[in-house]
Amino acid sequence: MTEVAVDVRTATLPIARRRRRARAGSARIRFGFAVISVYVVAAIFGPWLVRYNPVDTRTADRLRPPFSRLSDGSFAIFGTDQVGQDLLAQMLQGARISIAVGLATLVLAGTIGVTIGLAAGYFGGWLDGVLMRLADIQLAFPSILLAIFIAALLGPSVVNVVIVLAVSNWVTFARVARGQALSTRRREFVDASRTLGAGTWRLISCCVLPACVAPVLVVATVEIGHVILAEASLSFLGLGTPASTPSWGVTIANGRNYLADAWWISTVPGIALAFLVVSLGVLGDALRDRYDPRLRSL
Amino acid sequence: MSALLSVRDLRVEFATSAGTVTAVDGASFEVAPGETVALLGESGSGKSVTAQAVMGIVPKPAGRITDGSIEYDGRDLLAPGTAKGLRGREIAMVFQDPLSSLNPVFRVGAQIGEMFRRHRGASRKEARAAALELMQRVGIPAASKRLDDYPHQFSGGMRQRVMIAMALALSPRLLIADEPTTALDVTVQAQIMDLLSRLQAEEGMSLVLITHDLGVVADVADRVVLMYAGRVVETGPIREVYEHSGHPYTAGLMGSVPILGGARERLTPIQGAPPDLLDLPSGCSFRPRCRYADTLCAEQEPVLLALPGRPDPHRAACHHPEGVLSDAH
Amino acid sequence: MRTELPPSPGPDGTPLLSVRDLHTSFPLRSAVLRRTVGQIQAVAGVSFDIPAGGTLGLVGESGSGKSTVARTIIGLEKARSGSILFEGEVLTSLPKASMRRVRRQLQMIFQDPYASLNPRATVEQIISEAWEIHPDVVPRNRFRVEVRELLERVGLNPDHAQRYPHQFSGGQRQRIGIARALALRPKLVICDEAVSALDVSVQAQVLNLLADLRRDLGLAYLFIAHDLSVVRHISDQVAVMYLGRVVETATQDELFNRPLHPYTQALLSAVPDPKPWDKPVREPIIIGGDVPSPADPPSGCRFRTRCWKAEDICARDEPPLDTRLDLHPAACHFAAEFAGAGR
Repeated sequence: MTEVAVDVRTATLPIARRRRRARAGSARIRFGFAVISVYVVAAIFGPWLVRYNPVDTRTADRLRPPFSRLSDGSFAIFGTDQVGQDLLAQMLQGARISIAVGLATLVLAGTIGVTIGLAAGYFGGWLDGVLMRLADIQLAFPSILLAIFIAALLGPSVVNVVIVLAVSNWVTFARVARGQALSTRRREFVDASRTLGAGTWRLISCCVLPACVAPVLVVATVEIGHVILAEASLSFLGLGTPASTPSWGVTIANGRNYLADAWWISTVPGIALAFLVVSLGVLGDALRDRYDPRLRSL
Repeated sequence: MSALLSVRDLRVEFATSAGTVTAVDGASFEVAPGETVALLGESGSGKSVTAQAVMGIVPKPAGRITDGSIEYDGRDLLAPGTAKGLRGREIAMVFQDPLSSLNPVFRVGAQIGEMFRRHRGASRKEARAAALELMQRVGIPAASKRLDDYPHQFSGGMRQRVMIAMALALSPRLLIADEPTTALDVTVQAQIMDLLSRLQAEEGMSLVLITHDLGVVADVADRVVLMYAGRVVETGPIREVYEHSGHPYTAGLMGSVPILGGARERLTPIQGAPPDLLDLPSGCSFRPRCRYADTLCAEQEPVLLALPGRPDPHRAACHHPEGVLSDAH
Repeated sequence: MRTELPPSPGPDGTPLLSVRDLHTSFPLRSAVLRRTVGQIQAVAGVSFDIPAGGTLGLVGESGSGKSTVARTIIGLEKARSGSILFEGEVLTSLPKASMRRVRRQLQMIFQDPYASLNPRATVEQIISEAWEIHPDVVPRNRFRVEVRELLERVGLNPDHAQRYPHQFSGGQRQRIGIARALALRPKLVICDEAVSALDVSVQAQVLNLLADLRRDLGLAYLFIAHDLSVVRHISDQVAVMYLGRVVETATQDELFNRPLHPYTQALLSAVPDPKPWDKPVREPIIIGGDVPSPADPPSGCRFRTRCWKAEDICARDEPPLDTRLDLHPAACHFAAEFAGAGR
């Protein structure tokens, strides 16, 4: 039992090299945060500044390339689409949808996943077996099929997209929560609380749950990129948000037929989407490396 | 008689994210041939790191030997390549936790036999025979059947015997045992200490026992080297040091241990806690906990000196040993 | 089997804690299908009494079952059979509410100072958790004050109540654990290897603290350890356990001066002594072999496989933990012989 503040046996890298790594890590974190803040600010304030009206068609300004001046004098940075709508306005509206769907999905998937994972890990036994088989089934089930099913049954809508994505993505959260529950429930301090008379509810909320917060947050940051991309893909296929909402997937889908002449309709939202997902991924990886490198395999 | 092992002013530092930790800070001691020396200290004293330095297994690249010399039989162990040639052959080591020191996926007979195959070029059959003989020698019952068992199939005490067998394979002249019995039950501890003592006498090798337990070495060791915060604070024949401690730390330790046969008096522990190795006190590192300390102790680091009225091999690094010597137990 | 103990200081002579023929076992599951293929009899019939304010030391090596006894008494494990009485009331048959109230008076200090404190809670939160669970002990507006008092009592700086466990040393963390155990004003505290993980100098500080608390608060202790010298130092009575059973029980003085059971003798002989030169040279008793598996204990006397005195009767009849003549209880057929030999 060492009384010293630092265990010399686990210090393996020299200071200089570790400092360099840490700086690179925090550079990734800062970069990721910077990009994402731009998107979030754009999503929140953009649609107010650049108005978008879905039913407003201006055929005179159809398929104008980026940086062109429109008939009413306004400047279209990203050009216009096939019905004359300013692409930038659509993208800002789309940013709102993508980020909102991403967050909502994470909250829902996180809640479902953590609850199931905690129950499986803490109580163990047959409950653990049943829940984990459920997770395996979920993973094996093609999410596209589920999306088609829900879209066919309930019709495409933003809420339905959130439900589909949450149902497809809760398993990672469950695994993380279960792992934490398994490793925490046998720790001596949990026994100590039991000895004081703590009931199951208290033990879970005070001892096990706090241990889950950090890994779950890290997983969430890694997952949000996937979720946003998934939503765009579903919308592209017509299984996600309704065709009238300017989600990025819908916008990209709309530009499919014009790739030769008006490439910007699909490409610009595509680049914006890619950039956001990559930044989220970089941020998520950096946070994971910093706070919990054991999650690398997930 | 020239010493078999001679450590002089050894200094080992570790680079950590919190700063540079001086795990060993100017330690010096000697081990004569055929002698049993106890390297005694609590956690953070630097005793294990000293042994690692001798064996050349200080964790790199964080750990570095920044000063001092280690000589084995006149040869400089710190010169590159020297330690490697002697390790396992003339200098062997036994570790605290045999479960993590033995390879779990190889059979025990094979692991012991490997010593012969690698260093003596023995054939598989010869190595197996040699391993069997060693296992019998360290007292593993039904050794011929157990040659093909895996480490997890042995109890803690038996695993430790396997480790000792591996260490003894090439008849080393110096055996370093790092907390060999700390993880074992007390009856098994007695068995292992008895075994080590017997083997030491049979082989005539030097034995360095690293431990935090004052009692475990009392019967077995000839001399004791006591470490505190990376420095040697007292050394000498073990009975002499235990009964007439010249350093307040040693005296404090003796007062902290409940003795089975003694009267049940209140223990007299050392107040305070071991120092933070990142921020050692100036002068004598024991000063904040010492009741004999004064300004000299804060300014000057004490060196190992002979004690007034005590025979020379008994030395302590203290500016005011008279106080401790007179307050004898 | 009743053990002889000095009369308790209690008003009606009932011992504070009474354990009768306790059995606790763990199922052995097969690897593949997880079916139960056997039982590990961790505790196989243990009985003892602890009077109010008294200290019983429970000594044994690994596999002896001493920690399982502690965990069963405190409620972390379920007893298979036997009974536990606290102040005369049978714990297992009480309704849940009364059981909670009774269990409050029975607390535990754990072994590992690094694992027994919630790393994400402050010291104040760790100690006051007890009062959050049992709101009738201390009202919320007095939490801070009471925490400060407890910290002072265990020798810690009360200004550090907002710190986290990792900011303390091992010995200090153990003191926090002691403060937590005292929060509910228990009458009996189980110390489960409470000092085993500490350095020698820190161990002594904590032992002194435990002795002081016992004196100041009138606590009773069940002190569990593998180190006989530590146990003897703090206990009035000592019970020696081997492979799930108590093999000998006596006052600490009697046990040391006149051990009757061969295992106790071997244990005493094996205890490292920092000053062996002061005493008459004792013949070391070194028992060979390993502790048999608790899933398949030897027939008759469980110690017979390692005992130098073992004879046929030892394999046939299990020696009861009886008092014979005027000797303290020892589960050995030859106890009287050992007593006569005056070891």
